[in-house]
Amino acid sequence: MFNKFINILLVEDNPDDVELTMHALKKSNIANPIEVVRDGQEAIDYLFYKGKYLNSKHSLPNLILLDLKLPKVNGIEILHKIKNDRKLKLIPVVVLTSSKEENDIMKSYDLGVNSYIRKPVDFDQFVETVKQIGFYWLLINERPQV
Amino acid sequence: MRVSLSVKILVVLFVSVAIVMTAVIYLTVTHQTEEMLKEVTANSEETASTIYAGIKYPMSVGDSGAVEKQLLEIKDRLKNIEVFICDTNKKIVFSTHLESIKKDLDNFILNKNILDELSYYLKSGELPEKTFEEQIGQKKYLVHIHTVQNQEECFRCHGPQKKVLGAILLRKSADKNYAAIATLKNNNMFVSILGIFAVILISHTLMVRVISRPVKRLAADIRELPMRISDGSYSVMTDVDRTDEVGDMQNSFNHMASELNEKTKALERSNIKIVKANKELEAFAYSVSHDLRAPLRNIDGFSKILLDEFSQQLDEKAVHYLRRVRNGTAQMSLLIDDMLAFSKIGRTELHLTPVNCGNIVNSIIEYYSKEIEDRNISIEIGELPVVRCDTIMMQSLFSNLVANALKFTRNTDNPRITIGYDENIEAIYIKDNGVGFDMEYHDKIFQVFQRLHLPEEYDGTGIGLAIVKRVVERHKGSVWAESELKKGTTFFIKLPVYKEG
Repeated sequence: MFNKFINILLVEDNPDDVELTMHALKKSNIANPIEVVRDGQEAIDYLFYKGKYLNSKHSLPNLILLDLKLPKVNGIEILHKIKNDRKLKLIPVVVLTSSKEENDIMKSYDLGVNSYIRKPVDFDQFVETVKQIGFYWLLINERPQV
Repeated sequence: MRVSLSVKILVVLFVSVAIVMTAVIYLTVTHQTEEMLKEVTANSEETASTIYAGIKYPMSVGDSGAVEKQLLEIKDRLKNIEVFICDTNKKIVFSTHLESIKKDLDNFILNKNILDELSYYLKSGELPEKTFEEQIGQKKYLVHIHTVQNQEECFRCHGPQKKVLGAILLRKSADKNYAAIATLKNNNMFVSILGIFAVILISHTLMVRVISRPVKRLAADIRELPMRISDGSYSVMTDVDRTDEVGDMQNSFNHMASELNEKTKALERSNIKIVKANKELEAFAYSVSHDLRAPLRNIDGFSKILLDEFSQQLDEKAVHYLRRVRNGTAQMSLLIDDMLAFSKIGRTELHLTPVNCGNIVNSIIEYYSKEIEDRNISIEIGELPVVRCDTIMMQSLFSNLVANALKFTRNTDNPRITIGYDENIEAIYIKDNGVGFDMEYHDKIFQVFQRLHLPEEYDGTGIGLAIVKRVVERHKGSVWAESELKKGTTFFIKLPVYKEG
């Protein structure tokens, strides 16, 4: 089987957001393969090799971009599962969301999120933000081998 | 000091019963004493008359030996009686005490009152029947005076001039009588005290049952009422069959309690509603922040991609419209942010600490330093007070006011902003020489979404000053402005100043 090499896992339900984020990543010259999952349950299945990913041969991502407001299982629950797993907790998780609620920020940090970014409305700023996230987490930051 | 109702009842009972009983005892004893004295007086009168009858004849014939004999006989017969017969000079003529004869009466009768009265009778010739008390040492006596009138048979020796010839005094030991009175007194007292206690015991028990106990129970009910209402175990007191004041009190209490119960329940219901509404509001704010922002970002994103990557296929007008679309999304994004900030100031708790306003203002000026430098704005910051306030809200307040001043001096030559503290009115002021406004609109400028300028003149959401007002109000302070068109505006903020110590 083909061993799929994945660098970024994007957890995002809104197709427009997916497209714009992909566009921004592309514009930032981040060539790493990107896998997109569209709801919370799918994200968990993907990370824990369950459901339709039961026999998948994909490797775990080097970076998870996580939206908080998701169908079925919300981002906070996913974060909780990731940070309670011995292996998955080593993967940096960046919350990329529209919400700036104190509560969400607090909960995310409480669970051990690595970064919390609020998506700017202005697309130029958004592209710049995505560029910096990719640049920092994939190039500058040193991470343990998972 | 707390004195229970039951003790108070006891005291009142005791005092009133004791007063009544004491009066009764006093009156009884006095009456009985009087009765006894009357009896003694009557007896003495009789004795005196008998003695007088016995010695009258021997005296009229001048047989003093017979008189003495008579008296000695009386002494033998009536052991506890002493007899003194004196002349008008109070010299003892005959006596049961032989040694006292020819001596003055005042050697033997020691009560001066008796002697004085006797002198009076002897002079006036009145016929008294009077008994006096006399105390010699520990012993008590009763002394009876009986004057001897001058009569025909006496004229032979005494002549007819004098009305009174002398007096017979009978002294009788009264110890027995007084002992009897004392016993009477003691008996009365004993019975009375027993009576007092019996009366007090009975009435106290009754009164406690009738007044104190229901009141006590009512008090306990009142004390426990909030607790009972809060844990839902409240029920109206059942045994209200009394029709007196205590019954009224219980009725009123029951009425009050059930009303309180209803009010509490209503309050709880509305509180649940408020909490729910508040949660809904928060959910709404969250939704606004998240859901409204996402499509906005998409509009902006795709417009931008069109502008960037399809500009060759678009004519000038299309590019212009796409830019307008992007401006719109930027403005709406600002609006959402300001609206959220405004609602947040209304619902977050205040964390009050002493804050130096100077530090806040300096950091805000620092933030705008590039614009200030570029536009060559003269900034003057005076001494600012330490205020007890919420730091984050205060930052929001000053940043809105400074941003305002910067914005409205945009078209002014030599723009100048002064920030300071006016000791006289105890208010912080921010003064600019900008565009100013008509004071007619003074109250409007602090309302949400109220703007006095066209968007192309001065940008903004119309929320900034509403935020300022809300921050000030939450700190129980006040804000107002003084302005003149084209001359500039001064904002005043009055906050409770924190004074050290």
